[in-house]
Amino acid sequence: MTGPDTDVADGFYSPRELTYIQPAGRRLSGYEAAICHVQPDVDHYDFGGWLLLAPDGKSLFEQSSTRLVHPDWFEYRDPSSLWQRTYMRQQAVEERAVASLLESARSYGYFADLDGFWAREILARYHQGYGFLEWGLFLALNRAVRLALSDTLTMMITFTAVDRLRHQQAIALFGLELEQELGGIPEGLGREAWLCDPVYQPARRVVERLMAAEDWCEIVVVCGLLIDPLLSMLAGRHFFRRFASVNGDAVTPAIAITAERDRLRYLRAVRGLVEMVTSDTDRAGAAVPAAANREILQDWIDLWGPPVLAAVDAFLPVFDLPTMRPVVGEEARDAVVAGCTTELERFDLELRR
Amino acid sequence: MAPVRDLDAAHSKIKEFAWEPDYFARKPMRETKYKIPRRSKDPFRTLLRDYVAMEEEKDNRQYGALEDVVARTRSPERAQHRWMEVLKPLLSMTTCAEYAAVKCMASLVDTVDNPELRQGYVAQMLDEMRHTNQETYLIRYLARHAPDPAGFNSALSARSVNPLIRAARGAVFDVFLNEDPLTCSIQVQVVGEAGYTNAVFVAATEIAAANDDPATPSVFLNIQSDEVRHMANGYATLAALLAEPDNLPTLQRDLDVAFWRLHVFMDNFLGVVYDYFPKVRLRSYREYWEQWIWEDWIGGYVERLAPFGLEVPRWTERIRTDIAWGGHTCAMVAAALWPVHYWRHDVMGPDDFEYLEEKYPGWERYYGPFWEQYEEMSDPANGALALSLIESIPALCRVCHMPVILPRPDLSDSRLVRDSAGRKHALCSEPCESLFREAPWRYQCATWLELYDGMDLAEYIERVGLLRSDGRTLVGQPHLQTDEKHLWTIDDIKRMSIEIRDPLRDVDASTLPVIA
Repeated sequence: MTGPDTDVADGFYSPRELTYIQPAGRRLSGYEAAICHVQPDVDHYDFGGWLLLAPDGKSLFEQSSTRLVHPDWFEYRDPSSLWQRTYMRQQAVEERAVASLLESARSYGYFADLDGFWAREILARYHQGYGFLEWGLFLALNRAVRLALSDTLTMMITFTAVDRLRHQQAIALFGLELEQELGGIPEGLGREAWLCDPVYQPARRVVERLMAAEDWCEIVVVCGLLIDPLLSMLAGRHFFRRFASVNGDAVTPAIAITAERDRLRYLRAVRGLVEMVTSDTDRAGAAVPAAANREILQDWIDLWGPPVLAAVDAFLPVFDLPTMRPVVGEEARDAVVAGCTTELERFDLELRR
Repeated sequence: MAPVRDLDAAHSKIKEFAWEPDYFARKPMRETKYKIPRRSKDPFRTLLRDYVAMEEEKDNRQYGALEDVVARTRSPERAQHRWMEVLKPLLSMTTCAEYAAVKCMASLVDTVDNPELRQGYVAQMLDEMRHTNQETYLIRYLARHAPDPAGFNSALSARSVNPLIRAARGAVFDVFLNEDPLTCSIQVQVVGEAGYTNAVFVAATEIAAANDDPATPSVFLNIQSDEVRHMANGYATLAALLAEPDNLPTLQRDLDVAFWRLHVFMDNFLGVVYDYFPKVRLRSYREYWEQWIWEDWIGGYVERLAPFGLEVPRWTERIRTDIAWGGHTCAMVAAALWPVHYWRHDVMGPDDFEYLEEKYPGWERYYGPFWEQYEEMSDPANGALALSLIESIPALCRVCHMPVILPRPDLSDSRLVRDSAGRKHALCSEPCESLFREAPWRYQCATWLELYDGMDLAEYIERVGLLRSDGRTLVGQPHLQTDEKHLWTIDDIKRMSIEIRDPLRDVDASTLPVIA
């Protein structure tokens, strides 16, 4: 691979650019250079098999770890081109914003001015409960980190899993501030809501099921195309973010908006994956079983869609609790269902009740 | 960034979000044979909020230095060329290890149901991705700025087909992933990080600096600052396992095996790196080993666990003895095989002879004649390959894939065996034989010699892409000269008509003992 940027070193007859990566675009990007082909692969350069099989005889990476089939998972590129440096920079900006807001809130008597019902019933109970959902998604996505069949996918999923942990920690630390500033908030309201409150039980059922899932693409797709756009959008955006604003709470929206930014980035990343497995050929021209993959994707939508929608419905009563309500729960539900339906239609997939 | 007021409370709070699933039972991807306590000490105690701020700052320092100062001053061009050559295999090996550690940490998070340990594993997972990216960045950086880009520009493909570097996977990739996750943790954190990262990142840093290479220290010291936390992770894992007495026999066995697996590749490879590639020498690899592995890791880390019943790894004495010669034998084989490498393997001059004899008394007797003739054969005009200086390419071990003549041909306890299906196997030593006997089905991978047995050397070089962009000159060279008349081309190799030959090919399987 030589080109305008790949001059040949004097006297050494060698291009000054990496030659083992086939760039997706015209030129090799910094993102591609940072990750492509770090994962050894017996179908690319590492001929002869794995040096050590598992005690049960399995390979390090099994094509059977997902039902979806693709001739070359290493072709995947994260549309955001995030690698560790750019990811860390983005997350540091987000966290600095939240931390300074909390610091200011603490310094200027913000917590004392918070509506008592919002703080004690909504934030301490339901917002903290929502942190459990984020933690569960982290644990589910973490499994996909190990199983993913290429380095570019592994890196994207790693960042996504860590996103969820960051969201959970931001919620937890805000909860701690509330407990310390307001006093008198019983411990464990969030846990109690997550484990016992009917509004969260269908959500918990979905998350626990995803935590137990074994197909890494299923985990990635269900999280990105169903749970995020339906459940997280409903609770995180339409309830916590929008309701907080009208109930005098400026911190929750700041936390929520950083999570939304991460989820949007993840949605683009999942679109990239779905486009890859539903294209007729890969970049090298090898056939992709697009129709079969689309059927599998629809299977997953059919399998997971109804329980995720049930979780959405179960959460709606929370919309009726605060005094100030910028949106009716059913309207928010219709909006997220419409958004999800449109998203799935991009790939000829259908959300069915 | 505004500090969290009560750090202890914050650390406790973030760990309160795990729960025992009721609706769907969750099985880990891989069960562990160990008993793990549900709670233990948090080795990391870092909030993601603090973590991202810290790493962003470290990134700015490192990338800023590389992009501004080092590149503008064209420093990599002035580095000692011999040293720069060995960064090609070194970085392609470390990248492999870092990436494996990402997935190893994910596996630990999945299996280890302990919130304290999990926090440490998650942060380490991010660290390992960070190191992977840092090292690939450095590879590309050196492809752009080092005197000779060949080998940097192909590092991650060339490593896979190299007869020696391919063996790295047996020490730092496959074994980081394809075991019980806790066994992998022993391999990665307890032996790899606590034992060997100082020997890699700290030692390489000081040697690089002495050899006028400012880029490598910028990256390696930055990485090593994370490794210290990983050692704490390993120690916390060990402490948790030792809290349950039933774990001890398994833990001892895993520690024994992990040390052997790391040693058999790393010590021999690092011996080559540190004893044969610095132009400005600081200490021999044996001296580094004595400090970092023997005194610090064995003496300061492993032996402190004696009160809990853990003993020094089983093959430690043998390993310590082998250090004297393994690197030199490996260097000799590596040099003899120079046409198949993606780096240039320099000749040894009088200063090198003197140094090596001083640090390893007896070196000249065993290895001096080879290096004298190697220099003579480094000129293509002489029409001879250094490969002819060794009797044949030594067989490669079925378990570790290293040459079976280690630590020194006359000291090797290698053995040839066959399995019940009649397949022949070379095993480099008693430890590798014991691993093979335990589970021969796990070691199915063809050796490099089996893969390319019978192929013409010139055909191999062309096929795996070891030619420079003029289509004739080899990437590997047996010297550092740049005058065209000294550069080996594919025509020189073709004229010699050399066949890659697996010495096992001619061995009559029926004469070998059956091992499994």
